[in-house]
Amino acid sequence: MTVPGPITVPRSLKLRLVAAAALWAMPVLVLSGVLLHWAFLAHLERQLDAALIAFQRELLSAVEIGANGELTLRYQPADPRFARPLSGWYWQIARDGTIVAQSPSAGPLGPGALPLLSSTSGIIEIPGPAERELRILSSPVTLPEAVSPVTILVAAPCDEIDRDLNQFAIHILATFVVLGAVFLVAIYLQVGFGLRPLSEMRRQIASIRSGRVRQLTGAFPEEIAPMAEEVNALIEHNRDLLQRARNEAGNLAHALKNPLSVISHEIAQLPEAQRRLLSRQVETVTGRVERILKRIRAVGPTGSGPMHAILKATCDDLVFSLGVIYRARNLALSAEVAPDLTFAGDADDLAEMIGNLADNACKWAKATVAISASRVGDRLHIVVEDDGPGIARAARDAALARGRRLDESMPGSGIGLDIVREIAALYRGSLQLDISALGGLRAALDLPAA
Amino acid sequence: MRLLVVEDDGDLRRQLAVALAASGYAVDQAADGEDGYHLGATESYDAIVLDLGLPQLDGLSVLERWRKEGVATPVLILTARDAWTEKVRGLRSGADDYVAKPFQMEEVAARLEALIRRAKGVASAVVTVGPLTLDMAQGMVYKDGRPVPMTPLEYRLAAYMIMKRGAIVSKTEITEHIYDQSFDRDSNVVEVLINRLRKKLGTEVISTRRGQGYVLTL
Repeated sequence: MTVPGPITVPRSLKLRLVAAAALWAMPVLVLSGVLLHWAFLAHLERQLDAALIAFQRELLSAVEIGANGELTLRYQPADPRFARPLSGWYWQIARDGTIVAQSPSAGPLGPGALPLLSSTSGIIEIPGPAERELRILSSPVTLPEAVSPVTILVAAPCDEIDRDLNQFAIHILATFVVLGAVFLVAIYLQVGFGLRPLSEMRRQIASIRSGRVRQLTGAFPEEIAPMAEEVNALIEHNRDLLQRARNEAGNLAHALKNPLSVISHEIAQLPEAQRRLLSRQVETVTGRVERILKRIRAVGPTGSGPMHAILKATCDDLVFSLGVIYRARNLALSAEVAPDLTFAGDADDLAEMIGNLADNACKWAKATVAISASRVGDRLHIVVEDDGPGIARAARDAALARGRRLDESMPGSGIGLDIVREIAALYRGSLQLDISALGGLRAALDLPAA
Repeated sequence: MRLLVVEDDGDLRRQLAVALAASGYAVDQAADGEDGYHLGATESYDAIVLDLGLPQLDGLSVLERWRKEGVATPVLILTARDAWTEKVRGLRSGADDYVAKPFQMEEVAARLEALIRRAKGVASAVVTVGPLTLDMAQGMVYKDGRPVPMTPLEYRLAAYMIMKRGAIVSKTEITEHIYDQSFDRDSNVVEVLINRLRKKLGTEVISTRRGQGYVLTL
């Protein structure tokens, strides 16, 4: 787990919480380790000191002053470490600056290797012989029969403490690394559990966008319940705005189209010379108005309405409608669409796209217009084709260009194919023109499936 | 041939009425949904032009009511709403054709003519019955290949009878289908009109069936 630096704030809330927890948990673990290490060192030192004191007492009780004032040891401490040469464990008894007796272990060191320390009392650490740090207990003792005090020194190697301490540190480190990892996993799981209502909210918002539900529902924890309410209010507000915009577009359509009709019919009565300019102007205005209105009406994937439309229902409606409109032509209109295909978008947008393509196909077809559809992964492929003259390859791009009409002799404002392409683009879809196996134009829509 | 135009925009309604009258139709007008509904439900029209955005009662409701009550008159929806969803709704409600505004007057006239022909079971724009030929696209009647000049009223009567072919056409039917609403139904103008037509087409062409009406002699 990487803990981000102070500048980069983690984008994930989960990561953020885990990082924050790690930020205090890790120093606490390290501090605990240091404290334990320190406490263990103190414990080891106390243990060693207790051993030194015990040995010193043992030596003291072994010391005997003869009648002539001569000092003798009745016995030596039995611990084998004092017998092993250079073991680091030494004892020494001195009087009046003269070494009286030494442990066998100090033998190879030669006289004077261990300090006399006749004036100090207590425990000190000094660099000893053979490059070893020694922990030394030395106290001057005045025996009842003696004239001058006897200095009894007991030494132990510090590296014995260090060895134990290092071993302990390795154990502690391993334990704490495992503990830290367990902490992180536990924190991660805990954060995940705590944030679960947020994931639920995200899932529901996604459902709203795909049109499966209209609102956030269910009991959210009190911390995010107000947020859910706000989201619901926002969705409602969006819906209202969209509905208002659509209504306004409808009103505008009405307000503009009637006068445009009246004007163009009046113009038709005028003499040729005056008619040409005016009718061209009216046609331009009409084309622009229709284009803008169609664009306003296109909802696109951000609409708050239901974002799924059953393809078959739309195609059946269109086949019926075109059958009525082009009744006189006796066209063979067909839609081969499986009932389970759904478009992830607005039903009106879908009808507008397929309607324009199929209408265009009907205008040009000799006898046959066919709509078919299939699903590939999460995409819908909708194909509208006819047996008309088709469009030459070079002219296909022009057919998709804004407001162009390839053939002025056909009725219509020339905003069929390009508005289809524009609506498809709103859904990150596309419109491809090609030659149909039927002989005419093949228009293929690629759209998201629900 | 008699039409009803239901349109709330006064200027547009008058333009339609004038243009369609010039094409040889008797035209009644209604400015709102209620009026339009009543006229359509009670009078005999050969076709109806219906706007959707109407005051009082919207066009779709008017259409649905007519169809529910068995009014089978062909209806052409003429509306500013040109979304496919709206077209589908209109046609599913029983409309026979759909023209979006702004529109060309010629297109509306041509589509109405096609609707009327289909309703009368006439496949072509040119119908020949005996020595008579009706060209609806031109608005002309020919006898033995020669055009017969006629007033709009005479043309409507001739066209109506030719489309009915050999069927007997009653006096009431004639008043209902060739005069607009302002016509005084009690007068014997029909007989006068029949006689004027006989003079132009030849007396033998139209025979009288007493108590029943008139019939074209084939």
